Amino acid sequence: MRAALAGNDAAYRKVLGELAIAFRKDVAARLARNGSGNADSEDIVQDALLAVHLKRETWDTSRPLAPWAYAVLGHKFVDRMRHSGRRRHEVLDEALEVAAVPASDSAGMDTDRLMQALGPPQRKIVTSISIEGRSAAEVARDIGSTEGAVRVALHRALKRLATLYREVQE
Amino acid sequence: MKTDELITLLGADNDTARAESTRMRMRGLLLVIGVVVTVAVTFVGYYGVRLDAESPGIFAAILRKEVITLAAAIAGLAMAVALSRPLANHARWWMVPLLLLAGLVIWEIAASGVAGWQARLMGRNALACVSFIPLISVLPLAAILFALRNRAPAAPARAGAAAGLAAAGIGATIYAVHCTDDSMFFVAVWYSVASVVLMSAGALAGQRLLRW
Repeated sequence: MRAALAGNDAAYRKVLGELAIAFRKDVAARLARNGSGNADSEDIVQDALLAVHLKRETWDTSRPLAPWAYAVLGHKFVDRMRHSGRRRHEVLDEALEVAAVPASDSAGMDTDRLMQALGPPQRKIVTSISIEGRSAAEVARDIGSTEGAVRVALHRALKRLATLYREVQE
Repeated sequence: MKTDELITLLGADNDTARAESTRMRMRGLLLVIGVVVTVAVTFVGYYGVRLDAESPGIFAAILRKEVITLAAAIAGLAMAVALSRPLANHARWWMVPLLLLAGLVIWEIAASGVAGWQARLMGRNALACVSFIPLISVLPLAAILFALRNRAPAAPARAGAAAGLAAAGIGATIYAVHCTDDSMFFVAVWYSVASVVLMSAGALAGQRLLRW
């Protein structure tokens, strides 16, 4: 992780991948203990990965990564659980009104919601990088912008995503 | 969005996130320093330093107060930073100003006895002190909380309270050049009251603003 933070992007993706697996296991264990459903587990994993990314400077690099990472996950989990009680009531009310209860998106944050929150250029940047696997430089050339501008737009989009996760809880 | 896609995005954002961290830290520091200097200059410019400040006895008394208030400010800042991490921690810096205060109270009893302690405790300007320090400290508190917004406190309220202590220390340091009540009894009671007010405000604000 220290290599990743020093600028090694490949190492960073590797660490995040490993964290994702570890987080998933941890969330499943916590949910099993709580007796809750699994519907939101990938949401929590993604929320936590995003937090690891955006709050990386709160990790003391002279200490092991795992306790810090799990602390981030724990915080996000508790936040989510604190608010899910409210949501369960709403879902119950809807069911009583014989309205169809919408199934939670088990693949994580609803992509449509995220895309709606971003402007068209940001949307293109996010899709190009995440799904088409292009680099920031390539995307810059595609849309006629600079690599710096693309990177800034990406960072803003990620911060927006983090806000969206918070809003889900309110 | 699939988690793999998110990880790809985060990987692409690695360099930017790193640059952002440094930039935000700098910006936060500059904001706090800027606000503190502005507030200090404004207050001292408007209300002035007390007129007898140059006489050696008074100068020493001011210095004694400043030592405690500065210790509180530094302790508060150190704690705010330490507490703004996800790993729960118990920063104990607050003991330093507290021990200093206790020590100086004992010193005053040794030097001047306890005769007339009520008068020394009540002083002449308790109300001004308890009003001014929070007023002076509000903007510094806001600046500190703003600077902490990129952090991730395990307990946002506690981090906010630490910010309140720091702001109280800063405000009291500025106020002490003007305040004409020198007894350590006075400081122990009224500066502490002002600090508690700011720590509560900081905790309430932190609970809301320092969420992540």
